[in-house]
Amino acid sequence: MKARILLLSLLLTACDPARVSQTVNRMTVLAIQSEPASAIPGETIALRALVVTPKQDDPIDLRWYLCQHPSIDECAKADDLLPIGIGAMTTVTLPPDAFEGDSFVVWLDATSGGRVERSLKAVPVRAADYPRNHNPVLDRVRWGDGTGGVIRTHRKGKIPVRAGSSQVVNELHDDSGEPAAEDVELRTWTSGGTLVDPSGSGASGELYWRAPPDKDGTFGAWIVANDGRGGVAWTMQWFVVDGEEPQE
Amino acid sequence: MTLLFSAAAASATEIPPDSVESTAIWTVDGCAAVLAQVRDSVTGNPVPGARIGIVPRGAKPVSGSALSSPDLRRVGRTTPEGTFVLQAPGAQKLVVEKAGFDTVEVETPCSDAITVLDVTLAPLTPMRLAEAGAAGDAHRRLGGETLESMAGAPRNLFQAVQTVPGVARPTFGGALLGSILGSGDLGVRGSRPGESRTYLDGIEIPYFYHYFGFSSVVPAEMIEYVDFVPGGAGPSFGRLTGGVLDIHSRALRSETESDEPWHGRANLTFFEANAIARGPVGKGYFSVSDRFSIWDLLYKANPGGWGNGMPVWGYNDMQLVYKTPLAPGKELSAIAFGTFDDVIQVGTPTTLHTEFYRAGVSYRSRTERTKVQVATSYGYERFLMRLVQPGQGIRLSSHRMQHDLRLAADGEWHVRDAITVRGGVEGHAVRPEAGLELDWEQQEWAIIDRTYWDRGLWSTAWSELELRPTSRVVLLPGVRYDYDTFVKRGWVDPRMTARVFVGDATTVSASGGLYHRPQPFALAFADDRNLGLTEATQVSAGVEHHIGPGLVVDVRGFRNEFQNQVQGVEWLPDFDEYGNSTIGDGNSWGVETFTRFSTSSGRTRGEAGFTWSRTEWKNDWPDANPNTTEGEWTASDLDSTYAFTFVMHRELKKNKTFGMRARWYSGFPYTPYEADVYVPDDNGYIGIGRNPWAQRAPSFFQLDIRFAKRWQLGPRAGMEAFLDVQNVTARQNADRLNSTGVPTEPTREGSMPFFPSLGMSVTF
Repeated sequence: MKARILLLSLLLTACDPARVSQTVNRMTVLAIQSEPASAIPGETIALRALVVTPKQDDPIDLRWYLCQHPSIDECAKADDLLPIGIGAMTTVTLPPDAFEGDSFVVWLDATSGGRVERSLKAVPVRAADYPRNHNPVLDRVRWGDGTGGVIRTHRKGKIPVRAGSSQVVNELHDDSGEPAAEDVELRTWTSGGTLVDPSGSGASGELYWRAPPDKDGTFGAWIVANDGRGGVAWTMQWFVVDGEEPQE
Repeated sequence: MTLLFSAAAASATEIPPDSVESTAIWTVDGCAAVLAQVRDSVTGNPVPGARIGIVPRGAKPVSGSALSSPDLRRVGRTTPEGTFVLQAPGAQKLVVEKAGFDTVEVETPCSDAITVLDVTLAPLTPMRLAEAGAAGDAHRRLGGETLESMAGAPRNLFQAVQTVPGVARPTFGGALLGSILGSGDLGVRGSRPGESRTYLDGIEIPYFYHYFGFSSVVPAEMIEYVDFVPGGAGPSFGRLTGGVLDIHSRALRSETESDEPWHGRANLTFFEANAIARGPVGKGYFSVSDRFSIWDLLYKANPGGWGNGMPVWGYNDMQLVYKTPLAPGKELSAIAFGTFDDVIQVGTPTTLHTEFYRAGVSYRSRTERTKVQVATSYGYERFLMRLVQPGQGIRLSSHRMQHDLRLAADGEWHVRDAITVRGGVEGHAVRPEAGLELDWEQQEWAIIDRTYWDRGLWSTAWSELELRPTSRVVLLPGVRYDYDTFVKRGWVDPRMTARVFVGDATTVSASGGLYHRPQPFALAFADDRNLGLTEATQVSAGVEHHIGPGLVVDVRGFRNEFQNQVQGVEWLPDFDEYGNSTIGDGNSWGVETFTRFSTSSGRTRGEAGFTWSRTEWKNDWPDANPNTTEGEWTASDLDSTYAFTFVMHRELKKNKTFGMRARWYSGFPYTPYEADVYVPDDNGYIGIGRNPWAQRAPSFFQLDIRFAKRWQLGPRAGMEAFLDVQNVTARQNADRLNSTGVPTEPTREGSMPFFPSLGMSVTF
């Protein structure tokens, strides 16, 4: 806790007003979603993952494992894993004797081009009478003009992006013993170009994607909404950049 | 070259003093001036800084020792060349005193010609030195002159102390964090920073540095000497599990200096300025000093010319000391000192602020066989951090402060030649407070909003015997009892030091004892818990041998064991009631050598240190979490197998000096991560290191140099220009390697860059 606060303090002193996306230059696990986002002992959850590579059609092998320890730190070092599925989606049932307040931790091993990326997802175990945490809903998403499909543009092209929700984004909860509202954060990645949040808040859905100024190609862009309590949702788009900016 | 001549007294009064050399001296009543040249009887070297006292002609004739004469006056100290000019008509008796030497009393002749008086001081044999009767295995003393001129530690006494063996290499980041959080930075023989204690004239100071560690919070110019005891400290020092840094100021050190005229020094570098002045006030003696930063003054001169978000750093430290004799052998002294540091971000409420203040009064009485001191002091310290980032919607505010009222009394009774009894009592009334607020501005969501405060008492009683069963053996058994209401228990610490003088050149010594230190208040605020105790057992033994004039070697082995050591960051209240994960055990053992040398001319002197040591720690997580793999003994983060230090100072011709400091250390350990696991929800990695602290950062080497040139502007005024360059080779040291969990190479924690500092001093 102390170290995190200290780190936060130091990070704050270096914050930039505008937020820009991180770059995907190798296979990366951007998100693992559990549906529901929190579960009661004995409940079955559906797991799916957003695993990306810089290229649109790279094959990725996904294998799911169950960790038998109740905390994410202990699971990171565990080697007594149980296989529970293969592929982009799987389902698993929480043990009936899982403790409320603990976490149900699953592993995901992603392999592509000989590289293995290991990731962990902690699903909070809730009491039956405790409100369910819902995954954020991104149903008001618009990439460019909203016609769908791959978006074509030129170098330095600027594409407006909107990632919004028709529902109340910030659920109320009292995880810490005090009533509070979620703070849903939008995290962004691209394999080329830049997703920019001009507000710098990480909470605004009004963004734009700026094409790279000096490179043609096909580039991906991903937005992951994270509620900070285990709930995630995402949207993605591929862009084709072809040629210089047309002269007026 | 001093010009000396004689003339009749009547003539002297007829010659305007300003029209001749100010060092001109005449006869008075037929007696001319005396030039005393003071030398070491063994080496023949001049003895600078020796204190000169006189019994004036015309005073009551001295029958016994001049030291007991009511007419004795202290009139100054010898020059760097070991000389002193005693103005006409000379004196009935001249008394020359210097620590480490026998005091000499000389009859001065009355002659109408200038007399050059050779005075030789005989060094005390080790068994007669003050350290012989002081508990603690080794007393590594650094004089004020050394502190002022050591290369790489520009008048920063703590950087100078951290060069001696037994002290873990300070890191740039550690000094920065320690200065901001006020947590100290002295890791001694396996103890954690914060487990050693530092005193200025008997009053504890909580931390060393202004932010970034460039300047110390106490100026070197006010220091007579620093006595660093790395282990085996006597029972007068308690509530510690490490070493003791005992700083003695110049103003309080000497018995009386009321006859010395006002004098002082002012320094200016590109980032700070400081000045100190000392002189007589009434019957007493007063010392005042202040240091301030320059960066914030530039900001205050033009606050509108700085861009938003620009950090502005400012600091100040000040010291006042006054002492006055009340009667023969009785003295009243007062001391006040304090410091603050500020960092603000222009245009935002973001603030870092660290400060402490101390004020105390003491009364001392001394007879031939007894010494008594009664003292009281008040201390206040505060740390405040306020971070606001509107764009992020984050507000964080943390503060910590403490009030401390102290009453103390101690005394010494010289029962007979072979027995001396010492003892003391001390009580503190303490009011600590700490708070933390962290919230999201936009959500109006308080994550943490807690402030704790408490009040309590701690007290101690200690006693020590100095036994000399033979002239060559000193035994110092002692015991200390402490009680602390925050701990809600008392504890007993027995201590012992023994010295055997094998001939006049060799001293064999050993010390050991139990040590306890209450853990920081921050660990006990949550849920009204009691403070825990860190416990240590210290054992050490060694030999000091004078190989010849100007060469002394000390070789010493030690072993320290620690239980319930606070091994994490202790600056914030631990709001997690299960937060004992920072507690663990420690071991440290090793061998230290410390060599002091000076050439026969005395123009070159210095120290060399070598340490081989091992420091281990073991976290106590398994007690709470049996399934974890933590809790095995590993090298600690402060373990550095080999350490070499070399400090040298040379007087060159034409008032130039050259100094250098070289340090080489084994790199600190770090935990290599064999793999990293990504946690998408946290957008971060968890490193998997199954061999904690198994690898080491590259070795550390830093060379610092210092050039100075001095100009004598008058009999007492002078000027000095100096260039101090830290890390002159611009070596890219890694203070530490950190496995941050990102699947890349460990990150380097940068060290001191190439850092030149040009400055000038004026003395008067």
